[in-house]
Amino acid sequence: MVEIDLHPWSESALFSKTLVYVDQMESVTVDDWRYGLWSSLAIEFLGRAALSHISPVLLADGDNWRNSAFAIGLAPTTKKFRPISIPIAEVVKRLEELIPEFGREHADFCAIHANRRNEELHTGSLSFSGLGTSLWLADFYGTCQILLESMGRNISELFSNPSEVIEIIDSKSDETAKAVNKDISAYRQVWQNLEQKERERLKDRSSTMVSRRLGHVVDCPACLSRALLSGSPSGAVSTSIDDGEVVQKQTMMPTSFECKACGLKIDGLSKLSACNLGDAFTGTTTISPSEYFELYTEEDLEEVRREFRYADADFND
Amino acid sequence: MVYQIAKQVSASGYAFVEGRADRQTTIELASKLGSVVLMEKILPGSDIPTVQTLIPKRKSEAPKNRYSGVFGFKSFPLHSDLAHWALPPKYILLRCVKGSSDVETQVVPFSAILNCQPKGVGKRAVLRPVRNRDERPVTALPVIFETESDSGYRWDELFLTPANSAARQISDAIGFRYSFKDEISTIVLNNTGDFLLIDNWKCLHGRGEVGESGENRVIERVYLSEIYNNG
Repeated sequence: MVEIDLHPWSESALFSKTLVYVDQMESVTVDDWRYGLWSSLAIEFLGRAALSHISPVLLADGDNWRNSAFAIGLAPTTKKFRPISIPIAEVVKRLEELIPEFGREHADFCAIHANRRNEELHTGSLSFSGLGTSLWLADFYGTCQILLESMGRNISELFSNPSEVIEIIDSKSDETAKAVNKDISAYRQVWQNLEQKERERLKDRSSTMVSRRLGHVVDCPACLSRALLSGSPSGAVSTSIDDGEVVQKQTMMPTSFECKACGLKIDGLSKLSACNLGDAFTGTTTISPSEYFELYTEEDLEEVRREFRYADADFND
Repeated sequence: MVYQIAKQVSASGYAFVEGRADRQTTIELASKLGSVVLMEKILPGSDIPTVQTLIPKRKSEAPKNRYSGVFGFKSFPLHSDLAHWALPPKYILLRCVKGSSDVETQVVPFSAILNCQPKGVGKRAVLRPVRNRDERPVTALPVIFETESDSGYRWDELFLTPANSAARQISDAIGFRYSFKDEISTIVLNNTGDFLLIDNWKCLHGRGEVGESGENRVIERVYLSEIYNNG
């Protein structure tokens, strides 16, 4: 058996397109607005692929029977026929009815995310700019997982960092993580019981110890002092040139939090997400072109200078 | 004999049979081996016959949408035939009409290329056609495709181009070749009647550079959708 053309409503074509858009997502850091925009397109194609997996006819707009004929591969019978598929809202409705594991929470997420996409594309709102990943990323990955599994696929067939994706999915369902809010309340209580002078002294000390070179600076949820969020690198490194220097950026997924003022410490993405500290951030490294291309470093130059310290003096002969 | 050939193809992705003094035509041989893809039926009006005659051509002698038109007498990159089709033909039969010891055919299992890649790269790799075709929708194509009973790989850097970073990784690996060079088999169709049957879903192949005596080499090619393995 041979086939020349891949039907544009086939699971294969739609899933392949999902991969193209996920690739675009993964080319930027997670907190970049484009990550969110590409994700909203990717999940629409993934939803359509999941529906097509059951049957491509389910994508056909029922207003015109010729759309169903197109879906089953029949050649158009009228001139200037343009096949029309159902809108994303209808895709989500049908997924909820046809795939038992695709529940209300997944449908709601798809609706919210599609709405963000529509606002981004049709209004002046910057819907994805500044959107903290703890608000949507776990739901996005979780919904993708359900759709993938409905097609007999898994996370590693869509994302290049499957273990991190699964960790983020699991962080959402970790019920014990919610207990962290009790810890925060306890530290807050202790902080408020301190004298004003002592609080100011500890706050000032914390500010001097906190530096962007050590991690991501955030406000402590207990005492509101400047504190440090540490992360682990995730995803691809993007490299660019800015003002003669090589700038490398990479997504950092939060792993631990420490406040030097009140002493609050939180470990693990699930706990950090439970207290709104789970947003991914971007780690930025700036290096000189010579270091990046491994031409020479300042140390190399200094070593050469030292070697010539006792050489003959410069002389114009 | 057909059973042995089928077994060999199943095991290593290809089978090479040395020339025999039989008088059967290539289409007769192909019909004994398996189910022939009738190109006149699949592509009516395209002038592509079921039995295609392959003769080395200079770049100037072939259109730019053919391998000869781009590579001429130089070696062809590793590829699978008709990779831009949704479902390419399963098997390629190459039969020597006029041979040459100066031209090699290389065959390598695609799995050997993927084995050197991180897990999951193959399943995520997607290609897209280089050219848009008028009035026909163009879709992205997965490198790994599946049917109900089998799966295959597609690769062709002339008609398809990587559409994501997973595909670019594979492209780099194929271009570099070093990681799988020991898995490449080299076959020479030198004698009239020699034939090479390749599993086009499992292997990539490429014609080597054409030396002086190879300019008059003539090979006939037929595509098969299945090979008989009942003896």
